[in-house]
Amino acid sequence: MTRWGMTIDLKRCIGCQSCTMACKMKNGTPPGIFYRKVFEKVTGKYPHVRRSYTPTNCMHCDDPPCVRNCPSGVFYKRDDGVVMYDKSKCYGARVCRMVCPYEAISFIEKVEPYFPQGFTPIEKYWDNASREGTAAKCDFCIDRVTSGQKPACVKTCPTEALKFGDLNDPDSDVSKLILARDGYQMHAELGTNPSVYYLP
Amino acid sequence: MISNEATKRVEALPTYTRNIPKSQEVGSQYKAQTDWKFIEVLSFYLGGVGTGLYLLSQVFDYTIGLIVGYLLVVVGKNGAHLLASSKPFRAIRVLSKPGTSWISRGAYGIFIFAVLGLVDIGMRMGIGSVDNAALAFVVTVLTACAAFFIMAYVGFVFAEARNIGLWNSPFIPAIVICYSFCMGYALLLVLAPFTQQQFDFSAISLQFLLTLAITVLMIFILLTVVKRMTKSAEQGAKMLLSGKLSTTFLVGVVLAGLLIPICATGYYLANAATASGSILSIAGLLTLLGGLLFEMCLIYAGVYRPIVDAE
Repeated sequence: MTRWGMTIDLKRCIGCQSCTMACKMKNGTPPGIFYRKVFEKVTGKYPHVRRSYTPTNCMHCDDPPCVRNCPSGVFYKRDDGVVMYDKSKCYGARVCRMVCPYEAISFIEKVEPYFPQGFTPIEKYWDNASREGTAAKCDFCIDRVTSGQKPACVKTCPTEALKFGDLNDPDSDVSKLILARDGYQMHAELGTNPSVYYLP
Repeated sequence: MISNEATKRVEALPTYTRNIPKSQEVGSQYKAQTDWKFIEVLSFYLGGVGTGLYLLSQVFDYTIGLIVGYLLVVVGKNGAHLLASSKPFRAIRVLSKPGTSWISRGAYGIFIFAVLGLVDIGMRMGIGSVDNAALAFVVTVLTACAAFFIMAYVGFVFAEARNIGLWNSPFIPAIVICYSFCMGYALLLVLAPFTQQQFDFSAISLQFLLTLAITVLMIFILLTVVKRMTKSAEQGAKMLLSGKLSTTFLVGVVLAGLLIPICATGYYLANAATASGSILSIAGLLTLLGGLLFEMCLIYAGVYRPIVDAE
């Protein structure tokens, strides 16, 4: 059985935010809503200063707290490990945002156009108004994945810091990288068993 | 080789040569949740007060208390939940996941309470022609179970948030239950002077005093233990004890909401023959205010673990 997963190479990430933009374009998210974020952190004291980047998205946990705690059944897990959501079921309790340790779930409070002239044709195409008052998150671009393509962020990353593949296949790129580079999961201590691994 | 003058110039430079906007470092900072606001506080508060009063009114056979408690839960708590929701017309959907979601389980509890509570109150008031003691007893017990479940589930909703250290503690459900009973006693003492029913105020005030004392002890244990659990829990506790919520917590919750009512109730018990009953009413009002502030503090002090830099 396939279990889709991702590796994020922290050494390769240059913080260009290409993945963030690719995600926004692919999913047509309204202003202020990011399914994918790249956190930037500066550590140390001059002259020994270091800037590090940590891209994050939904971790598609094996034991997802959002699926368990959402009272209206918005979130569900596919057989291939991808945690999906159905906006038409969202009641707006926001408990998903409380329980997600990765702050991966966005709540679309109000949808406003990007430009003062009103909604552009692409914004109208995405029908963002229907997302108002509902939770939303990364779905690993499952429509692309099922048609044999990579998620938009993985395809766009110019430094190939992101890899996508089957975690259950020992010959997949992701499995090999996790093994070779000692990949780790974010907040593994919480027992959620994420499908996204970071390569130090 | 770097000259001494050059070294001095370097040392004189600020720690960061560029100002990084705070928003860019947000992933590595402790921050409190902002999704649940006052309306959620109000819904949890009304649920706690209402169920506490309902259960105690069942014990003391106090019909006014049953009606007020029922309305606080069914109208107040549910109304606040609907106001807090962005899609209130989908409210029925919260019944979808009782197997795993505490909110869903709580919704079932409220549904059962709303139906059985009405029957319970009706039977006690003699409405209808049902004259079956066994049936009345079953309804009373089931309604009490539902009320207790509504009181308790909130604590488990909090405790499920593994990333919020202060909430992810087994003490939270216990404190929420204790506080609900405190507020139930408090509202009972506030309402009692306005009704004809006779109460044994000495017994009630003793029970109130004990409940308050247990609550103080539980909060003390929580804040002591939680500081050693995780850093986010420590940050939450710090926010309550010395951070921006410290005045509300220490003055509003601990002093006005718990310690003064304890002293006032203790004084009443020590001077039961001469003390005025209004002391208990004031203690009750202060406890009710403290309960609201406690819910506020608990929700606003829900500090997340940072995404980056695992503890």
